[in-house]
Amino acid sequence: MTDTACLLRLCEEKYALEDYQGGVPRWCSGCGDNAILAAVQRLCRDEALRPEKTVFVSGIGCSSRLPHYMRTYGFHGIHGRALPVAEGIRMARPDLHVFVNTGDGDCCSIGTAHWIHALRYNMHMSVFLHDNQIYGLTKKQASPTSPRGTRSNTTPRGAWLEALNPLTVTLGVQNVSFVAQAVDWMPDVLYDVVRAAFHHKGFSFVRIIQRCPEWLPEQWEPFIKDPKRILRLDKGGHDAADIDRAREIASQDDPIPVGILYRNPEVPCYEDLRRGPKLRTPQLVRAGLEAEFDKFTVWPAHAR
Amino acid sequence: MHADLQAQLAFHLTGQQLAAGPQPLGAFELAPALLAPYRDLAALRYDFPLVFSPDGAVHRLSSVVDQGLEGKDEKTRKQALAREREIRALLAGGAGGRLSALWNGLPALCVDGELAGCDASFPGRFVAHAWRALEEEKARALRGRIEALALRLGDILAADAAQSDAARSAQRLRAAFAGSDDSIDFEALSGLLKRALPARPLPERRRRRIESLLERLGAGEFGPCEFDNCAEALAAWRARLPQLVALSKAIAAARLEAAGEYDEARHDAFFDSCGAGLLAAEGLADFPGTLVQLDGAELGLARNAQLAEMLALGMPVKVLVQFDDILHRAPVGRPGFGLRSQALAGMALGLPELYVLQCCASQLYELRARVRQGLVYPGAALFSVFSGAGGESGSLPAYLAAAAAAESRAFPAFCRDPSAAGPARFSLDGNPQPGEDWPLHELRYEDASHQRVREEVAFTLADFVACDGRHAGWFARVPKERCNGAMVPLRESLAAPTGALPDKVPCILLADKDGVLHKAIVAEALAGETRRCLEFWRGLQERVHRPAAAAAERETAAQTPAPAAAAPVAQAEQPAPKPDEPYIETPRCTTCEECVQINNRMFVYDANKQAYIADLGAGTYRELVEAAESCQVSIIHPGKPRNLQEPGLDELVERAAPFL
Repeated sequence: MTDTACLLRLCEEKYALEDYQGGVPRWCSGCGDNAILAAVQRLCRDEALRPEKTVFVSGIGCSSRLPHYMRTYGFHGIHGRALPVAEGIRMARPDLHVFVNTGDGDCCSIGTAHWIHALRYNMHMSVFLHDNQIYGLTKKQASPTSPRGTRSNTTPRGAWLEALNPLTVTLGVQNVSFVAQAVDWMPDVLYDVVRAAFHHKGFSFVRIIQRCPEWLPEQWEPFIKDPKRILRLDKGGHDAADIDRAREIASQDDPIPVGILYRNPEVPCYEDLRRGPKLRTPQLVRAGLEAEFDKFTVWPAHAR
Repeated sequence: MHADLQAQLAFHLTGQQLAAGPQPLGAFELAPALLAPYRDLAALRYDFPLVFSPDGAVHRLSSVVDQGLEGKDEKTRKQALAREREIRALLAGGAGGRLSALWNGLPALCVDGELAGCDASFPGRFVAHAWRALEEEKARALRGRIEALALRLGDILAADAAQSDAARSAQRLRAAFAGSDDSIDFEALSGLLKRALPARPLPERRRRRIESLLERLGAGEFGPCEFDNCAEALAAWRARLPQLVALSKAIAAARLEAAGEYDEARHDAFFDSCGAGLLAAEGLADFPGTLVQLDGAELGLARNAQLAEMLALGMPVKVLVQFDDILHRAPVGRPGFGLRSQALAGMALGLPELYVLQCCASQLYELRARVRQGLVYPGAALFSVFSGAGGESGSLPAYLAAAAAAESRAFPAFCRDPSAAGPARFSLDGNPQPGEDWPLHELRYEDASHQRVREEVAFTLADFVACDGRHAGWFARVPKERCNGAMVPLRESLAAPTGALPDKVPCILLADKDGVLHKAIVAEALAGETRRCLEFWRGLQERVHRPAAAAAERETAAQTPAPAAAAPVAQAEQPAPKPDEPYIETPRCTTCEECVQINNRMFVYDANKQAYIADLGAGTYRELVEAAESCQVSIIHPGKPRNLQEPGLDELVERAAPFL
């Protein structure tokens, strides 16, 4: 803790969970989104994040309704574009805590390009991918993460393709700095992972495997009933600095690995690279504006 | 007993020379055999001299030259290496200066800076060089933060001024237009602006507060920060502390003010009552620090007390204690080599928040990362360094004397970093063969019959003492013809149990100026000192192994079943659920809303938004069973029905059975 941070901490306010509850969720009962909402609300309370200094950004889908249920700033964006919005916020308001909630359709289909480049830019924000392997809001269409054979309204004979693995994709992008996975039915692990993601300086990407009781009610039953089919990385001595091992672990889907797969706090953040050391004094701003205006100014003849 | 052995034992036990016994040694006549190959240091490419570059980095001259020689031809290479040798010799002779002044231009070197050899001034220069660079960096960062805050506060005042009536007067508006423009009616424009945007001036209290903060942020001169004694350093620190606290409070208040979060009702009282007591060393780490350089020879009771006070106070001070001579004898009693440095190490290790690094000057470059870590550590740090430049080591260079002290465990390197966790907290990095009692080296020599011989030789405290002319009397040379089987290496003799009358004579291998090997007997007084040195070293080794042993014990304890007596306590803390009573495994609740939608008075969320049974009477057994069935993680256990009159109980009990 540096200089006056000690002092400021002494006069910080304390918050309760209710201070972050912004409305009654409209998700189906049994939906894993509820567990994620509870985890982020706990995080905000425990870290005493000022609601007016916190922003949740989302795209479109069931998961993307989350900002409505937070009593903080929120931006319910357009489909697949949560990340660019969040990046803009990060550049313009470095004082805010930025969270992104996106779904498997939002992030891994229409928003894939933004996802890949956001990883490469490594801007400081916590990104939670709510992965229920189905489009739920539009009533059951296959998403990129739907396993092969998943029957849906768009794949009545079962999905033809191998599912996209968000973890291996993420770990293959340059400048990746934090990758973790959690499951919604293990609230203690979910909270620990969400907290670690928040404390990481850079782009922390957390895939949260979640249940969809409405459209894929049986999808995760075997894993919920049998704890041996969950691999706890925090118990197994996994070295989160080892990206090769992280990629190997990310490739497996049974048992499901949960915990931090990879973490590298040394990767620079784009906003830090772009922010110059010069203070933006009124003189500097004025000089810059004058220079720009001079390019287009038509000077009257007598002023030449 | 053989007469030779008797005379040798007599010397060993008494330290007195007998007429017919082993031969006395003259000062600097012999030196440890393992040091013999290094006598001409100037011809060797070793760590020194070092180049202190202006950016705070330190480079080895040999590395700088190697870098400059990349891709160069053989002729340039030979010339450059010859010049490097000359520079090394110049520095050994006491010369100094910048590298660029001594280097003749070919090849061009990419690094320049002051050259430093391993002499009496080296430890102080090394630590101060790194400290000043870090202080400059810190001051720059602090200045940047203060300027940014001042700018933001200034913006608030400027915005307020721009909205005032004076700023929108016709005169000001006219002045704001470049050149004269009669087509604009500035009076009308002024009236229009005033009506459209009525002035909303800052509250007077806030304006005064911001102006006061700007004034306080501008006051940041703290005076000198380098001292050569504790008393002055302490006095300066006490004088400076109120300034630091005031600036710290001003920065904190300015941050709140700039963010628009300053709440007079809450923060006024807080900042009024906040004093130095609330600022820990970490809170002051970003402000200018203090460097104190002390001479270890002058550490006495009174100065030790001042030093301990300073280190324990929590002030972010960095202290370098330099020892030039650790082989001077105590006035009475046993020799007491290195007593002061050992006492300092003991005191330092007794202060748990203190960063401690002890090493010899010859190791400072190798341990530079640890030096830097100590300098950036937010609390106090102590560097205890043996320079090797004192004592009476004749022609032995200070570098070799310091290296011999490190090699012999006379001044072992260790580092205790309070900010590190687990085994990294205490380290013996930098010591040769840290797992052994003494470092062992292979000595190759030619025997009387011109055969190559290899022997494993330990470098002990006695070998280090043999470098010092004052202690030649503790060694006696044994001519070859009088050597016998009772003469054993000192390290073997130390391993034997003490107390009984010895039947072996400890000896070490020494070499003369011509490189001829000799065996020399070690007097018991010196052997005893060597034994105590070994005990101190073993104490340091235990500190390394202790955390690992403690962790193993904790693991064993965790695996061992708890004793029967402890069980009731555990049960009292967390009673085991009874199968007849309904309960929820609350920590596993996923907040899925199923149960609370069935009955939100019976099932309620706790502060973590996880469900528990709040009121059993608020619902029926049927609702309990339905909640258990709908819970996807099966953490609701309905127990047995309480109301036996409830309709359909038989069926409900059957449905509840899987969840009991």
